[in-house]
Amino acid sequence: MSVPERAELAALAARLGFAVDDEIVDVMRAAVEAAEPAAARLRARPLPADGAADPAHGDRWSRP
Amino acid sequence: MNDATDLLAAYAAGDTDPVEEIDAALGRLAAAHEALNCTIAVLGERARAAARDSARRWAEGTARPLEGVPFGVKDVIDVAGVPTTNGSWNHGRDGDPPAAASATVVRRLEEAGAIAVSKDATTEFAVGGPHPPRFGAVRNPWDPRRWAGGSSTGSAAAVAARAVPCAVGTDVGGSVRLPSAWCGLTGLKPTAGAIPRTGVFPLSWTTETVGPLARSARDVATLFGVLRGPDGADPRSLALPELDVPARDDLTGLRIAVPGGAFTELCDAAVAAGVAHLVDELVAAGAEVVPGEVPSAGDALPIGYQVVFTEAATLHRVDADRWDTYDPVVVRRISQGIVTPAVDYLRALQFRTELQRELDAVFAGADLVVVPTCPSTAPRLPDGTVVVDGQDYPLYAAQSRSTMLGNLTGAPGLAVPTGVAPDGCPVSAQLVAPPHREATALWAARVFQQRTAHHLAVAPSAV
Repeated sequence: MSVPERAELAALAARLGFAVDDEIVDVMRAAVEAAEPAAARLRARPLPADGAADPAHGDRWSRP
Repeated sequence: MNDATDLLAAYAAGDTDPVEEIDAALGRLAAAHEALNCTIAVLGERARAAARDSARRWAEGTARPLEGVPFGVKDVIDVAGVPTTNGSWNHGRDGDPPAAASATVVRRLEEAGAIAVSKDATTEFAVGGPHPPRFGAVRNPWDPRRWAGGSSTGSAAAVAARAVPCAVGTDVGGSVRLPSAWCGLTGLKPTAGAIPRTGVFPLSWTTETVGPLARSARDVATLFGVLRGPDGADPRSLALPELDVPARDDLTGLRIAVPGGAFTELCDAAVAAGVAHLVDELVAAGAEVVPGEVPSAGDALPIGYQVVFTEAATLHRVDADRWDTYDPVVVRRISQGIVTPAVDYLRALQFRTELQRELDAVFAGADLVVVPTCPSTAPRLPDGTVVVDGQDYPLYAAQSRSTMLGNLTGAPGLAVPTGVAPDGCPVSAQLVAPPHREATALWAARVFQQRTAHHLAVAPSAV
């Protein structure tokens, strides 16, 4: 597993309209790194087979 | 008087009246704030005027369901005519303008006769750290060297300090349930959409809920009955089935699952003992323990944070040029959302459905899931660390491990005090129910509280 380098994250943040300093870039990268194992597990496994790929299924679950 | 139910009985008996009680509540709030830093604004004049009307209604026999009950409002929730600061210097570009209208939840409580007495401290934008730069940390009534928890931090402190019997907060990753747990309160994160969020400053539309904090399950049931149901404005809030909390004290037929795994792998012995005590009492009242595990629960926290922070970063982009004046913790936390790829955010929403199906499998054989509300007693100030079995852990690595599941899936969760740990601070268990089955959790909690006295314990700093 690898996560983007800090310069790449800083450039992405700037492109999206966020001004973040070096400390925040480091924090962002640490957070991305911390989430990566769980995110990688999700990426690696198939989507639910019965149409649940549409996030509307998640909203429907809590409808009365 | 322990709770709002007691207060209403005292009004009905003529033992006191709302003018006297609101005046007393305002005095207690001042003392609590002096000791704990729990209040952003006192609504004295507004509350006293409402109290006079309430007293008249009691005298005339036209009292409403919550007539004269004082309550606090987390300061991300609008009260008409009062600024909503969101605990920040940066809530708006023109200083602190008053809210034009009350949030649906405030309006509903006031229409039921309750009286808003305070805007309560919140972590900045309900996502910052224990030390919001504008207002500072809220100390815990059980131990002022500890934090009251967050993000509904001042609300929990004020209720636990017995300044007010109840308050209304918001919960995106545990922000009603965690401070409830750490302050010895009963707090409900309802099913997503059950309580309208209109007039609440948003943080994450997928996970956010509004919920009551109180000193008993019976009060939470009454408050939830008033707060729930569509308002025509919140698109996630739809018509609901009737809230029918069983009146019987016998739990025969109630099936409870007590999963382990991620819920218990990081859990202080005192918290675990509290969960076991709750289960024992429910079983003694007739409930049955059944198998049930949530295999993917361990990923609910990191994936839930992806959803919360991506949505929060989207909402706060409009102020991105002023993030240097935010609580640095807000920026550190939500900046993760800037760089979460869209495919990962959407995969997280698909994971939400997978988790819901895991819960469906559990709820096929169980009516409730019982887990720790959080792994530890209240965090220590100033650093916010928590201690689990003698070992220190960072706040955000520990605090939402059992609560984020409900936010990500939408399932309701009720935090219930289960005792006091050897360190003198409360411990808590959470009753998780299927969507729109809050009544089951409220029933079990009420029976537990009839059999025990943990919810009656008074914090040393109570006023």
